[in-house]
This record gives sequence, structure tokens and C-alpha cells, in this order.
Amino acid sequence: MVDLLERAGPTRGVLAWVRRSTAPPGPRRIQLRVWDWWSPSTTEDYARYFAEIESIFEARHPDVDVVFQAVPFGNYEQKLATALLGDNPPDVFQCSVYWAEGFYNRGMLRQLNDLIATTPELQDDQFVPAALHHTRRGTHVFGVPHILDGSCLLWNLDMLRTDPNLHGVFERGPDGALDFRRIRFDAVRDWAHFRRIAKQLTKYDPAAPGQPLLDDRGDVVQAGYAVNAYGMGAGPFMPWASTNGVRFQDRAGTKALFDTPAAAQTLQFLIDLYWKDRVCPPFRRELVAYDQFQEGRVACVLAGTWSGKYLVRNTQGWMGFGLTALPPGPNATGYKTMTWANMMVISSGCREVETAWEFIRFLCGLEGSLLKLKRLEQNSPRRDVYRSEAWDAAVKERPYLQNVPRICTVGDPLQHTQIQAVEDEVEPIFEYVLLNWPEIEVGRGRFGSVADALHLAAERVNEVYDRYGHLVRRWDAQLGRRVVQEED
Amino acid sequence: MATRAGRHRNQPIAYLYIAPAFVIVMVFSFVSMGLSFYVSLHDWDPLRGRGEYVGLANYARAVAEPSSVFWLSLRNTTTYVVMAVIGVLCTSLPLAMLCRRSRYGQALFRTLYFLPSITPMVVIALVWIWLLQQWGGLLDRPETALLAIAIVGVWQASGYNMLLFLAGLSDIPQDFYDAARVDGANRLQEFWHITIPLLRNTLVFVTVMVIIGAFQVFTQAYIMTRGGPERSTEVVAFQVFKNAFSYAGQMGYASAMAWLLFAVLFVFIMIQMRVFRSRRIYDE
Repeated sequence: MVDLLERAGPTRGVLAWVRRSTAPPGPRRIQLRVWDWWSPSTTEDYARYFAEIESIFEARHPDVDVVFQAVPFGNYEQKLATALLGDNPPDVFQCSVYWAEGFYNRGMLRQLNDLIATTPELQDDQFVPAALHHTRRGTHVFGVPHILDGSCLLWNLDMLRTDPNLHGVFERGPDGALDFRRIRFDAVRDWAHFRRIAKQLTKYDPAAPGQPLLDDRGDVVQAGYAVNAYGMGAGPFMPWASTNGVRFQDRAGTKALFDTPAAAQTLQFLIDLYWKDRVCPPFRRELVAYDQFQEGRVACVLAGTWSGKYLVRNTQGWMGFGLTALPPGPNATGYKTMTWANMMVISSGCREVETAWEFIRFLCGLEGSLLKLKRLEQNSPRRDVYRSEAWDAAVKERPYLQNVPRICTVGDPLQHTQIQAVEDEVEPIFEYVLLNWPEIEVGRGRFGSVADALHLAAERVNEVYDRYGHLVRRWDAQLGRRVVQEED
Repeated sequence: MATRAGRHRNQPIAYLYIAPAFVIVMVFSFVSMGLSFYVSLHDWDPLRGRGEYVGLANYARAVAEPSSVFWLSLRNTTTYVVMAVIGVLCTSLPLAMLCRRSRYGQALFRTLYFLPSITPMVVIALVWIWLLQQWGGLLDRPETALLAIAIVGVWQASGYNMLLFLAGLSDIPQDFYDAARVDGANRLQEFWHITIPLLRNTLVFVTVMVIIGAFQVFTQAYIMTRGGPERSTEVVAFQVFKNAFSYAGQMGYASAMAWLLFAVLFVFIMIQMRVFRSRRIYDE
């Protein structure tokens, strides 16, 4: 009963109040305000995770009262700015790579170098290198990696299994037999191979050769791959572009780097999958590729390493899927994707720095990471987690986790500078190219070619970067900060 | 004389009565507007509560910079306003007349038509995404997306404006219609020569309110299309929102766009008020 009351917001507050009121008077309690877009009300797993974090930390620090506040992801920036202005900021919070550098540049985050220097378990060598990229600007460190994620290809293994020609993608067990629950990390050799697989997995209409088979409602029966065109910006493009040697931006966020022939080749590859090979469901705003995958209409989609747990939950336990990195394009070698690590940070208005750091040390240390694995099935930016028995057990229980560490490791850093402004510039251009390729192809489009479109997109992004660079220089001057940016 | 003295005696207490509303309006409307104008002249950093004075640079950027989407969003907004005004007038007035004529269940119809007005636009937008998809993907095409969100706006606003028209219609004395019928007027003539002229004030009020509301269109664009596809539903309020709250350090630019929108709206309304100046009809 008490457990049930603990889970709901209002009753949880009442219980805490009752406990505080009935507790014998003691020393002054420190209130540690923690913000997160994860919330105890998300699912029962999250409720247990937060309850456990709170109870363990408070048991070890009896003078501390941890107060979690859920802040919606979409409003995080505004709420933090308002809280800082109102002198009521959180002490410590989870920060997305989307905002972290911007927050730091504006003086909203505390620099952590001094704290990290005295904490062996949070040194750089404890983390996967891909997790560290977004936590610093030059030598200034402002975040400790909390979770590690990467874009990846999400495969429907049940569909792959039905075609004996595709059995080469599966791992083999110790006895040499195919293991249909595990897909090989290098299952797809290159783009051409991916294209062949996507075609093999697409059910075409016998009455209309080259067109995907549709059901009575006009939905595809089975497509090999799905591309989102509407409102996705560079999202569906960049992971593929990274496999062709393309990067979106320089490290300092001063220049767009995707105005290249290799980038045009990548966008053309996606266009061809849709318009020439016809391996995708029709572009429709309300149909998200991930949902179509979940419904069993699409064999492969671009998703994230975080997708697995939600997929299992939404499908009530189905685990016939696997994750891989993206195969190399003609202009590069090796498997690639985009990787990012959201982080724990301390706000510049934090009143209890030592306690906040203790909290981060606990949350981002091995113990907190294993708790995330246990309660949230969340992989970790920490190296030692992947050497633990808990990880081995998790992979055994949920085979889709097997490739996750390698996927995250091979990733290029996700673009992160002024992401919303940048996406708003590239989105209409990418949308236009994907939706209107036949017009462009015959010379009646708004752009002469894919390369022209990318050139314009890069110009627009550079304008955003220029404006932002001007602001950053001003903020640096106001804060008396001198940052030496590392070379790319 | 005694009356004038009485008026003077009552003035302080009258000011006291209006003081709370006056203070609220001043603080939340006029002071905020003044602040936003001040911000528009600065490269404003909301986090620090100060900024560098840049004069009219934010205004110049909005109207003259080649990559500025202000004109595109203003064009989309104006198109939306035209569609909304036509749509609302063409639905709410006929609905009001039908409602007035219905012998039974007038209250029921009024309630039903009014329901969308009290439903949050976010909910309406989410439901309409699916409805519009069934109608051939109107939201998916740049040519039809703006029309689609205008349909949603009209659907929501019609019920409320129907009530205003209904009130206006009930103010028209039945004698005028009776007299017209005696003179042999048909229904259409009654409508053109009695209903429309006597509804003039209501019509002006509804049109002005719809124009003001439509120029501020935001929720449909935010929820249903995010300004797409291909910026076909990019409207000024959405641009203001994005620049103010999603892009770093663009609060001044967003405020400048908001003031430009205000200027356009002000001109529109002034023209309209002049053209349709309120006056008494058939009084002489």
C-alpha cells in the first residue's frame, strides 16, 4: 500500500510531508533539487528507479532531501532560463546534448574540471570516448555522461528469418547453428547490400511490377525500409551520411560540413530507396517509420539504441528484433552512426555544490549505472558496465542489447550547435527534395540537383552558426572566459 | 448643477472601482508591450535580463535580410486570415439563422455548435490530423496544408461567432420583416435589405475579432504541421515563438517580428473600422 502511494505524485508528496512532520527534530536538512525529463510517472520502472535512487542517496546522506522535478523535454530550455532568472534553479539536472553547450556558453552551468579532478571514478578513461564529446568545450568540462545512445538500424528478425537467402545476417551459436534471436553487427556489408536486402524484404504488387503491395486501406503490406520525409530535418539523413564520410558540423559549431559530393551521394541513396527501388511505404505525415515497424509493416527502420525497451513494452514482450550500426557507403569504410551522451550537470545557481556532485558521483558511477540497467534497461557510457555480470545477464535475457555497445562506440558525434534553429533551416529543404524528387529529376524542381539543395541548406546553417558565434563571443567576453577550442 | 456636483463627488470612488482592473491591464498588457518594444531594440539575452542596443537592426533583419522568413510567414498568415474570415462568416451566420428558425431544440443546437469553442485547440488539432489524413492527406501537400489548418480554425471558431450573430439577429425587430413581407419581399431580399444592414455592427465586430484571432494563429501550425511541409504553414506567431524560445539569443528579433505583426494588424483594423464605421441604421 505504501509502495502504491509512493508512486503517485500527490500522495507521494503527502507521505513525504507526513514523514517529515512526524520525524524527530534533527539537524538542518539540505534540499537537493534535481530536474529531469524522465519522471516517476513515465512507467512503473521509472517510478521504482527514482524511488531507489532517492532512498539509497538519502540513506547515505541523512541530511539531504532529494526532490525530483519532472520537466518536459520540450520546455526544458525556457524553464531553466526562467528558474535561473528567478533565482530558483535546480541544483543538478539531466541535460541533453542539444542544449548542454549552449547552456554552458550562456553561463548557466558550472564548470566541473575541479570536481572531476578529485573523483577517480568519473575520470575520462572510465567512459566510452564517444560519450565525452558533448560534455566539454575546449578544456572546459561541464557535464558527466549519464546515458549513451546512438542511431541504429532496427531490424525485424522474424521477417529476415522467413527468407533463407537472408540467413547470413544471423549470428551462430557455439554449436554452429543459426541463432535467430541475434543479428550480426556486420550483417549488412555496404549500401548496395542493404539495398538488396531491403528489396528482398519488400512485398511488391504482382499486378504492378516495381510498386509495393498495398492492402485495402492503402497501407503497404511489407516494406523493406521506411524513410520519414515530414518534419524530420537532417534526422534520417545524417546517420547515413556519417557512413559515407560526411560530418554535419565542425566541433566548434562554426561551419556546416555537409555541402560535399559524398553528402549528395547519401541523399541520393535515400531518394533512390524511396523513388526507384520502391522499398518504402508512401510518405505520410502521421505515419512514423517507427510505428510502422512496430505494426510489422516495415522490416527495417532508422531508430535509436534506446528503442528496444519501448518496443518490448509496446508490443507486450515481442523481442524478434535486432540492432545494427549502418553499413559503410562507397566513400568510406567501416560501420558508422551518430552517437550522443546526455549528461548530468550542475547549474550555475546551485547552492549545494558538494551535495550535487555527490549525487552525480552516485548516479554516473558504476552503482547508479547498474541501477539504470536494472530498472530502465538503459545501457551506459561507462566502460565497466559492459564488463559486469549484470550486463552479460541483460544481454542474455534481451539479445537485442548485444550490439548496442559497438554501435555507440563507432558513432560520430551528433550535431549539437543551435540544433533547433539549424533543423528549422534544413528541414524545408530536405522535405522538398524527398517529396519532389521526380520534379527535380526532370529539371522542373526548385533545385537543379541534390547538390544544389545541400548547398543552400549549408548556406542557411552557416548563417545560423555565424549569428550564434557572435553571441558566444559576447557571452565569453561578459563571463571573462577564454576557451581554446580543440581542433577537429 | 447638482447632477454635475454629484458626478464629481463620485469620481474618486469610481476610480477606486476600476483600479484593480486598470493595474492588471497596465502591468500585463501595456507594461509588457512596452518592455517587448524595448527588447526589440536590443540584442536581448533573456537569461541576463539585458542586451546590447542595436536600434532598428532587428526590424531591418526581419524585413530586409534575404534569408528572413518574415515575409513568407506574413504572406501565409494573411492568406490564413482571409480563409478564416470567409470561412467563419460563411458558416456562423447561416448557422445562426438556421438556429433561430428551428422550432425545436434550439438550445441543443446552440450547445452542440458551441462545443468546439470550449475544446482546447491542442486536442482539436490532434483529432483533425487524423481526420484530414482520411480526406486525402491535405496536411501532406504544401498546396493544401494552410487550407487544412484554416478549416480547423473555422470549425472551432464558428460556434462562438454563431452565438454573437444569434444575439445580433434577436435584436432585429420582427416588425421590419413583417413590413417587408407586406411589401412583397422574398427571403433573399429580406436577408440583403434587412438582416445584413441591421447586423452591420455585429458583422464588423465578428470580422475584427476573427481577423485579430487569425493573425495570431499558432496552435494548429505548432501541433499539426510544425510550419511544414516546405514552410507552407509557417506563420508569424510560430516564427516569433521559435525565435524567442527555441533559438539562443533571438528574443529581440522575435519581439521585432511581433511588433511588425502588430503594425500590420493595426493598419488592417484601422482601415476596416473606417470602411465599416459603426452607425445606426434605419433610425431617421
